[in-house]
Order: sequence, then C-alpha cells, then structure tokens
Amino acid sequence: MSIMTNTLAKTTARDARRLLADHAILIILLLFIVFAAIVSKGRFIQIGNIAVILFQCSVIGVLALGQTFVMLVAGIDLSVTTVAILAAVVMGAGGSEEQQQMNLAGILPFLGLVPSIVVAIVGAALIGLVNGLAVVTFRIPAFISTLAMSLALSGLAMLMTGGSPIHYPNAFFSAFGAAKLLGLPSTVYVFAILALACAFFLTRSHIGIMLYAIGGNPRAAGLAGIPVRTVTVLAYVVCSLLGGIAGFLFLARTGSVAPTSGGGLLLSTIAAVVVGGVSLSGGKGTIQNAVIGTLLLAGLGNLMNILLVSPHLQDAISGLIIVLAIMMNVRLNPAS
Amino acid sequence: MDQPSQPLLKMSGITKTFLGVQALKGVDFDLVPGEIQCLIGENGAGKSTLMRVLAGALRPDAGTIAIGGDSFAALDPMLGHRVGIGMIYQETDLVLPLSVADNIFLGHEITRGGSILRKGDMRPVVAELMLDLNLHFSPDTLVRDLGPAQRQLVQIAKALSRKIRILVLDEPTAALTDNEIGYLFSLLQRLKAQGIGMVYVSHRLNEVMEIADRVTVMRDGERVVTLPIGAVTKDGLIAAMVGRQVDTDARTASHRTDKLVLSVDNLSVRGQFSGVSFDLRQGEILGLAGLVGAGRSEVLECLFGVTTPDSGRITLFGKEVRIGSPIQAIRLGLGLVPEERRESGLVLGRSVEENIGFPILRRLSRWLVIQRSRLAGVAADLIGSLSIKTPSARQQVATLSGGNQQKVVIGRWLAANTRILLLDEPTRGIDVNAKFELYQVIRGLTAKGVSVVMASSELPELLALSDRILVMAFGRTVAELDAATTDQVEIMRHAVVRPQETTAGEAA
Repeated sequence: MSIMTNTLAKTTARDARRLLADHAILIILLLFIVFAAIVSKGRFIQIGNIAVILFQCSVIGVLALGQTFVMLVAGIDLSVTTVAILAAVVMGAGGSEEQQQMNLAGILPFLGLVPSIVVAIVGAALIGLVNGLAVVTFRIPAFISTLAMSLALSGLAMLMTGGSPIHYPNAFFSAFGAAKLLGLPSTVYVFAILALACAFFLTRSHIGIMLYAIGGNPRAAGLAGIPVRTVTVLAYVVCSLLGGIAGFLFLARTGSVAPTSGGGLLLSTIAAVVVGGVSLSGGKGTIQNAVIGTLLLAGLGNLMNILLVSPHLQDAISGLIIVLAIMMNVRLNPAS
Repeated sequence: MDQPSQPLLKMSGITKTFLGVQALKGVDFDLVPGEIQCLIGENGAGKSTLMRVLAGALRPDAGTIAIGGDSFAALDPMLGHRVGIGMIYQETDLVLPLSVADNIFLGHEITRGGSILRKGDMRPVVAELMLDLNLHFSPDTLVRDLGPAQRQLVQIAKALSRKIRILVLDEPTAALTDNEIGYLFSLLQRLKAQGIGMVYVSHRLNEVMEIADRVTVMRDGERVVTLPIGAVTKDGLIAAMVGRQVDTDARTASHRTDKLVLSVDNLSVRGQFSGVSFDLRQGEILGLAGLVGAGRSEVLECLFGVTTPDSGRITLFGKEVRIGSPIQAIRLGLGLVPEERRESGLVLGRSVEENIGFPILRRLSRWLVIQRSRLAGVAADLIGSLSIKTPSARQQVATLSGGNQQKVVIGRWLAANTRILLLDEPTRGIDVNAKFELYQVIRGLTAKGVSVVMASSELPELLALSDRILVMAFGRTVAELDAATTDQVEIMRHAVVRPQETTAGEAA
C-alpha cells in the first residue's frame, strides 16, 4: 500500500514536472508580458506596439519554423538565412525591370514577377535538397555542410546583382508588405498560417511522427522501418523552402534587400528556436514553443527600444537571456 | 601451487546488483604471485562484472578486496593503479591518433613542474619496454597504424609501464592469430617468472588448458569451483559452466509445420560470418546458440537488410530475394527484435502507441494525416493481447519495465503482420516472470504460423523454446542439433571449439 502511494506520488511529481517543462516557456512569456507592461507603463501592450512586434518577428519566425524541422532530426541549417536573402535578391532583381538597369554587372536576367518568385521558391527547396543529401549521403556534419552552402550562396547573391543593392523591386512587394487586415500586416498572417501548418504537420502527419522518432533514436527508427534518410532530407527541404518564403516576407517588409543583408538574422533565428526549448540534440521541441521563443526575443528587443536601452547593452542582455533559457531547458529536460 | 600461502589478491563476498538483477552473489576469488588463473563461464556468468569490480570501474554492494596487506570496500581506477593492478580489455582502450609512446605514458607522463612533458626522459623507458616485449616498431608510430595484435601488445606494454603486481587480461586472444597467441603466451610465462599474478578471462578452453595454473568457473553470478589445472578435463569444465539443471519440463509444444518459409544458403558477410546455411519452416523456432562474437547478431542483421551479404542466397517463401534495407525486409514479412532494446529497439522518448506503430505509419495515414484512432486501436489490441502493463497507450515507453518494453517491440511486428520474427537475445535484462510471459508470447506466435529465429545466450531458454538449435562459433555454423535430444553440455562443446576449416585470420 505504502509502495503504491509512493509510486503514485512519484508519478504525480513527474507529471507536474513534465507539465512545467512543456509549458515553461509559455509561462515565461506571460510573465514577461506582465513585466514589460509594467516597466513600459502600458506602452508595450498597446495594440499598435504588439502589431509592430509581430511585424518585426514574421521573418525570423518563418525561419525559426524551418530551423525547428532540421533541429528535430538533430541537424542544423546555417544556410537558411542566406537562402532567404538569395531568394529576396532573385525576386527583387528578377521581378523588376527598373532594378535590372541598376545591376550592370549582374548575371540575373529579367524574369518577370511571377516567374522570379517561382524560381526563388523552387530554388530554395532545391538548395535544401542538396543540404539534406550532403548530410545523409556523404555524412558531412550539418554544421559544416550548411556553413559551406551559406558561403557559396552569399557569393551567388553577389554575382546575381553584381553587388548592387536592390532598392527598386517590383511594386507588388511593398504593396503586399503594406497591406493590412484588422490592423495587422499581411506578413503576420503569412507567418501565422505557416506556423499552424507546420504545427499540424508535425503533430498530425505520419512524417511528423517519423521526424520525432529519427531525432529521438535514429538507429531504432531505422530498424523499425522508418525511411530515415528520406525523411531527414525532407526536413532540410522544408527548412530551405520556408527560407525562400522568409525571403519573400523580407522583401515585402523592408522594400529593399542587399546581397549582404541579414547579418544578425541567423543568430536570432537559432536563438529563438533554442529559447523555445527545441533540443540541439534532436527529437524534442514543438512549433508552439519555437514560436513563443521568437515572440519572447522580439518582445524583449522591443521593450529595450521603448526603454531606450543602448544597442550595445541590448545585445549583452539578449545573450544573457538566451543562456538562461538554455540552462532552464537543460534543467527541466534532463537527458533520459 | 596447490596450497598458496600468501595471496596477492583476495576478494571476499563480492556482491553487485544491477536494476534488481544480482550479477554477483557473494563471490570469493584469490590470486597468488606468479600464478596464471583462468576465469571461465558462459556469457553473463559474471566474469566481466567481477573484473570490473577489480579494475575499480564498478563499486560492489558488499564484500572486501584485499591486496597485499590492505583491505578495501571498493577500488577506483586511480587506487587500482596505485596498488598495482593492470587491466587489458578485449576492446583496446588506446587513443588511436596518439603515438605508442604517448599511449604508454598516458595518465602518468613524466613531467617537469607537473605540466611540461619530458619526452626525452620517457623515450628510453618506452624503448626498453618495447625491446623487452619484442616490439620492433618505432615508439613514434601512431597506434592507428598498428594491427590488432600489435595494439594488444602495446596495451600490455602500457600496463607494464606502471609497477604492476596483478594483470587482468579479458579475452586477449580474440583478435590474434595462432602465431601471435603463441607469442603472447611466452610473454605471459616471463611475467609469471617475475612474480606477477594474472587473471586470464577466456572462453577458449584449449587456451585455458594450455596456460592456466588454476581455473575458476563462474555461473549465474556465483563461483562454481576453483581447481588446479591438473585436476580438470575440458568436458568437466563445460559441465561446470552450464550446470546440470536442464529443465526438460519447460519444453513446450511445437507448432512446426513442413512448409519451408526461409532458406539461407552459404551466406557470408566479410569480417562477420561466412558460409551460413539453414532452413526455417512455418511455425518453427530455430535457436541460434554461440558465444559472444560468434556472429549470431550479425546473421540476423544481415537477414534484416542492415548489412548486405558478400555472397550466398536467401530464399523467402519460395522466391530468391535480395534484402537491401530494413524497409525491404519488413515488406517481405521479416521483423527484427534487436539485442539492445534501449539503444536499437525503441525510441524511448516517444509513446507506446507510436513505438508500436512505426512500421505501419504510412498505412495508417490518409494523405499525410495519421489516423490517430486507428493507431490507438492497433495499440489497444496489442496492449491487450500481449498484456503489456502500461498506464495508457500514450505513456512514454521509457517508463515501462524491461519486459513490457520488449513486448512493445514484439507487438510492433505483430501489428506489421510479420511472418518471420528475428529475435536477438529477447530476454536479456528481463526479470524471471517477464521472461516466462515472453516465452508464452513467442510460442503463441508460432501457433499463428509465425516462424522465429532466436539468438540467445541462455541455453535453458533455447532448449525449452526451440525446435532445432544451430550452433555458431567464430563466424561459422558448427552444428545443427535437435532441441528435444540435445543438452547444454553438447551445445557448449560445439560453441567453444574453433572450427577446423577456419584459419585464424579469416575468423578475425
């Protein structure tokens, strides 16, 4: 009897711990919002400000969705932000005759608006295919192969425009970026729809279950008949595809892009995913928490702007928060 | 040697329990200077556990270890070095990218001020050691570039570079050719003359008879007997290793039919096994017996498409097939329950339901969407029919007991309609009651027409469940026995002998 009670108590304690581990990041986001609302004297939670935060994090958010797929299979994609910039360059330079005249040394011809978008998105997916095959077939560590890919793509972006920044993309992009529905910019809707789609895919599709299984134990997954290599490659393709879409959003949001843009994007993306509790060693993490991680970091940056914290101090504080978040995740999710 | 007066080592009442399983049950063991004592026993008898206690890698739950005049409750690796214990493991623990000299002094480098290496002072010591061991290569050679035999000898040099009084060798000849074995033995004789006491762990009775002064036999975590070599025979040792308690009542009714389902002809994977042939009939359980490293797991993995055979034919249900991957094997009706349940069998962080459903996920989904209710239905059926004890189908599989985890892996193959089940040590690390439940499950499968190939190191289990038993040794099949008429002694007699036609180089 006492053993049973003991076991019961243990189970309850474990469930409580689980619950806390699963929702810790949500609790922290809510606490942060309360804290931010107080120290900003309400400015943080004004509708207009919330819309700004969401607008700002839509690009990083979409990149974080893709990164989550790859990290679930214990990989990492360091090229995804470069894919986004390259896609934006292709869309911006290939879709605008006006811009073409600026790119004297560029190798990218005028394609037309729709073809350039198609080329950018399909090209992004193909880059993901190469990334995935490099990891699966040649067993090059993802960290190295995607870093090399990132360098190559940066070079390609320079070649396309001859180094010129893109200030005159097709007017469609700015119009898309400026469009609003119910006070929220269109890019936020794109992010939200993609996040829902990804969450649905990971939890409700058989491939989602396979991704978690591969990340949790690739050997066991393979011996249980899961097509480990195919599904791993697919994760990289999805990641890069989302990178292409993020490129579209980037161009729509800012109205311009340079081949050298996006310097801080990669770190912000990985930080968002990791703060959201997606494990670097694979098999653990959810889209919801990756999104919350993105919102939390974007909110933190916004709050520090409102409070006029110096940009240098902002970086230091962000770094500290990221380390604290990872420490907390390690604590709450001990390796079993 | 018959009446050792002053033991070098005396281990008394050593007890060690792992997860509720008693690996050592109050073992006594002693060693005198200048003695080579062989330690033998079946897989899982407790030899390695006992030696890991001596190496300080494991802390015993009870008992004492007396070395020279000092008595300890437990050792640790540093203390082990200080009292003069040297260990040589089957798998070398050398650092491959470092040189021979660096490896030999690893952990006890001669330094200036504690951190600057004095290579000049270490070199002559290494050179002398190597000369002593008849090693004719440069101390600067990288260990990576050495063959297995040379690595083994470097390990001995490494052990001897410390002042040792006790040397433990765990299956030191596993990777050696006959010539190299001869050389190793003459070296051991010289160490013996220097008064070093040696524990020689081996399965190979020929070697034991050749080199031992005394033999200790272990079985089921207990010391069965220690005898001077003059007082034993090979058959006597085998009998002591397996015991005599064959439980013939445990044999269950066979569901074997005459229908041939699988025929393996002359199957070989280079470096693993060669010339393996056998037939399997519907409803039959074919046991695979053999010592660790005999190639049983490798044969099962090859059948399951994990490795590709270099030669040989596999005929499944009358059709010759090539099995290139586990996915193909599953499609052909095969299922593997791997040896390492936690490492290879299950994704521990996922649910019981998902672990059961892995091979049929695609079948259970419409378009991309998994039909959770169908998955839950399949899982519920199996949880019921295999009586898997779990709070719910959504429970993380890591929280289940070993026996129930194993049922989840077996259940997975039932869900996938497997026709031929390959079991690799299905009851390892599982408590006695759960074992019997698993036996019933396995037997129940054959009643439904499933055929089974089962590798196991537990001979009573093989004898009770199998229709026939195939014995493997050194990567070859050496005997095919009728389980109804054979016994443990006969199986072991085949398992411990190196097949005549095999040359040492091939087997390694």
